[in-house]
Amino acid sequence: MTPQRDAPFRRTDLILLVALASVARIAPILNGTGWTDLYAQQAIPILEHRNIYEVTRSIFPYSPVSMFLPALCAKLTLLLHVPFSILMKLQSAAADVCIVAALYLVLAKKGHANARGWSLFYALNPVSILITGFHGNIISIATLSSFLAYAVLLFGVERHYRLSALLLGLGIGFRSYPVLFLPFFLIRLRLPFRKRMSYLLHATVPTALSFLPFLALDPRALLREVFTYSGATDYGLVALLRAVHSLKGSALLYGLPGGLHVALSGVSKYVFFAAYAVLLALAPRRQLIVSIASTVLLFYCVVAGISSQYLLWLLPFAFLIRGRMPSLYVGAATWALVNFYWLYHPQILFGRFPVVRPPLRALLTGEVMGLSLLWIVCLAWLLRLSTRGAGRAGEEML
Amino acid sequence: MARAMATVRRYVESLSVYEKLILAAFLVVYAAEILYVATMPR
Repeated sequence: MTPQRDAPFRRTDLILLVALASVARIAPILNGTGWTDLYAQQAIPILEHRNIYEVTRSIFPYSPVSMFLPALCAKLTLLLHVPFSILMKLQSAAADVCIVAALYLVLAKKGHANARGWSLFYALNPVSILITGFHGNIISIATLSSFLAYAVLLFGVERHYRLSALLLGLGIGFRSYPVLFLPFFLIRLRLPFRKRMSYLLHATVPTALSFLPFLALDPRALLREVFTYSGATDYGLVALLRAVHSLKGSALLYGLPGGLHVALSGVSKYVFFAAYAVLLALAPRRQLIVSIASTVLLFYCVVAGISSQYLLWLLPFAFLIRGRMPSLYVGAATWALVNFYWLYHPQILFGRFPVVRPPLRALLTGEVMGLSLLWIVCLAWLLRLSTRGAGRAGEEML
Repeated sequence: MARAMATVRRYVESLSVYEKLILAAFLVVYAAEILYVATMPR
């Protein structure tokens, strides 16, 4: 079908997209088992009225903004008699469905070709369905906030800069990663100095204030949890190395031998921040969306601590850039995600169905291939963005 | 004090509905945190 130029916004399309996206995410949620151990571990200290930063290690390495959410769901579980895992996963799915709606609104209202097709692709893309519907990670709330922070600016920078800053701040409050995007917003937005400062304050002060009660309570515990977290090494080069080691020994490894894992993890952080500084230096000459996408791709290529849910960060921005790369990324990330879940957390994938267990070597081979493919696609896209920018499809973006 | 109040009022009046909603959500979080920390058994 020839893409339709200046496709108008249609409310029925929006309703159908939201309905379809909801069904695609709710079906695995209803088939899922109680895989939300992490959120239960976050809820328990809160319900026991203890300082979560003091009594847990690497369970809640975030600002206090989302602290009460799992505990609130635990209370609602008793009140509504709905399983805790379903209540947690529904939030994750709802945020992802909102991304579908936001993507359609942006593409259709801006008159982009085939807005419906791209939104339908996002609604049914396996990467976000796996992360929200199967896994149920609430990082999608931060992804939605950071995407909206960018999207509202497409309808007027001067008019919406404060809303954009607050949305980005909300994302930073939920999960820290959108703070990596903040310097690019400050550099690229054509705003007077006073408004840029206002952007900076609106994006950071609300979350910064949320730290105060816990800083007063136990500053050491808070700083230890928030600043020493390194993520899980499940994707990227170090995970690939782990998969190769696992394949060589025909045994499933959770880390690398000796102190190699910790050493590589530390080095990867330094390399990332050095390359991030280069992206900051290039930012004045590049589109905002190119800088954001490049930052995320750089993270995927270099950093050791990449968990499954991090693969969602790029998606909404990728679907605004469009072109050939989002399909390649979705394909490679789907392979890597399915293989990882199958190896390490098969209950996420199979839910109530009996787990199918292929030979370990077959899954380990798949892991090596999937991780390699994902890394190559990310690197290729990063290089493509460096040389060609967002391309023709992304020309009208900021 | 009166000047500070007037500045706050002007700021709140300048906010859009969505901006007010986000800031209200943060205020709810602050209130919950303060209550939670203040009543935490020592």
